[in-house]
Amino acid sequence: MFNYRTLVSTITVMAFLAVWEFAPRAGIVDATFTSQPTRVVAAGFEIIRTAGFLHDVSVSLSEFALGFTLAIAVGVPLGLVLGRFPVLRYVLDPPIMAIYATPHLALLPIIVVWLGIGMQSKIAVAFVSGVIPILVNAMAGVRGVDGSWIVAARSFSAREWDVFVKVILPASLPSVILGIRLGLSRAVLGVVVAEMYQSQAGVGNEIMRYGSEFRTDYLLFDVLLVSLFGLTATSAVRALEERLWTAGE
Amino acid sequence: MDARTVVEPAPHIQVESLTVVYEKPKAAGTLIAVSNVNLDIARGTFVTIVGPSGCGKSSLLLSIAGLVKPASGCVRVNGKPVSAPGRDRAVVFQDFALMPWRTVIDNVRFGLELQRPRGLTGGDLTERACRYVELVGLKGFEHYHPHQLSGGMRQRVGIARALAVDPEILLLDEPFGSLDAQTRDEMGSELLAIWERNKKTALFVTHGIDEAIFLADQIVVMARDPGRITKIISVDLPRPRTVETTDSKRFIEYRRQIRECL
Repeated sequence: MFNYRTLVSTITVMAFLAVWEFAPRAGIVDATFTSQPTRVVAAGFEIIRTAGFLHDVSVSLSEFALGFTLAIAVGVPLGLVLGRFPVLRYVLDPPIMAIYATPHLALLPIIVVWLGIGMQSKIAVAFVSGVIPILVNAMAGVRGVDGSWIVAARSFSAREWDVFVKVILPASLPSVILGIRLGLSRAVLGVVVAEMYQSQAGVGNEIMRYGSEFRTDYLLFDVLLVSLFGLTATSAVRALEERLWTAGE
Repeated sequence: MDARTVVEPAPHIQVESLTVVYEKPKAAGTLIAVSNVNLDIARGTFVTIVGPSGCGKSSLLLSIAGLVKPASGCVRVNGKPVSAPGRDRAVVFQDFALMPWRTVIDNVRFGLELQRPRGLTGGDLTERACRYVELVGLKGFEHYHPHQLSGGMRQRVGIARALAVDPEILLLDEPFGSLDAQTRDEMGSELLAIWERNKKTALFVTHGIDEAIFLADQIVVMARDPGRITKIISVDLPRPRTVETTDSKRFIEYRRQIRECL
């Protein structure tokens, strides 16, 4: 359990925290700008007790959950279908690649113009950010399916639907999950940045406010909260991925 | 037996002036894989097709399977023209074509799931798959995944999958082509042992001359450019065949005959 690698990693983290804590105390840097681990923890306790905190968290979570669910609901089926039918791919490939190449956050102003500064615009940003990697990976998964599996299915008189359900779907599942994992972190980023840009509530909104008030401790606590959420969710998907690979390889 | 209609048994498989053409990639013209081939295969016989790479032997087999569309001519099974794969035929592939996410038993179940023989429940299918796993000597490996098996064991799964749907005709496309020599010989003997139990019509494509003789009632020798049949040899060697069969004088004579054609 406690091997060489974890030991080195732990020491590195501890050293970083120690420098962060003691550099301001020694007067090397100004804690107003850098904060300190103990201050961030203290800020955390205060933030949790503030009236708006739970509301902000639930707003951000709802925006993320709705936008990302929508991204999965659209991206996975569309990607699978595009992977399977070349003609559709030829039609939709240019617009998809155009959106893929566009820094999606550059679309923020126009999304706000269309949908306002409420939750709708954040849901839209989470969707746009998440859907592309999900779609592209689902498509790649289908295109990577071994042709001999399809021929084998056909040799047993499989119809197109059977081929899809019994070969294409299970064979491309690892790719689909990978796309979901990549889309997830982009959707989290999308929600937070969208809230920082124009919003009335949410964790991104808090981060922006604390920033403008020079409350570095508070700001860092919220940032930590977001990365913790992203890390946990991503690890959960990765665990699912690994189980699929060990079962399927 | 009805005395009024004593008819000669019709061939199980009839190939009539079959031509198979492939488009070359990048519009570089066409490739004639099989050119005007005629062949009759009697019910219950083991026929091997031998020839060099590119002689169209696999194309011929896949046309009979209904997986390749002929440019002209046709294939008949039981007198009916073949236009697609059917329940009367099952294929064993050179690259095994097993699903890596399925266990041994579920791979054998694959064809059954697709064909769903009438009146059988999911449990019946599993039970039947189980019997065929046992038949090919993989009892105890039911829940292994293909990557945990050797090449020979993987092809046993492929053979069990084809047999499980109980086809009239077994089509084997260089099934032992990617196995080492020793495994290939073992698999050949075992395949014959299984075949002799119910004598399904079997068509076996190979480029191994000895393998072609060892298994066959009839050997179809093919040549390339264009792919055509050059000779059909009836093999008169007693069954069951053993390793000693391959040392017999007649076996060596057959080998010489085939070499001459190739």
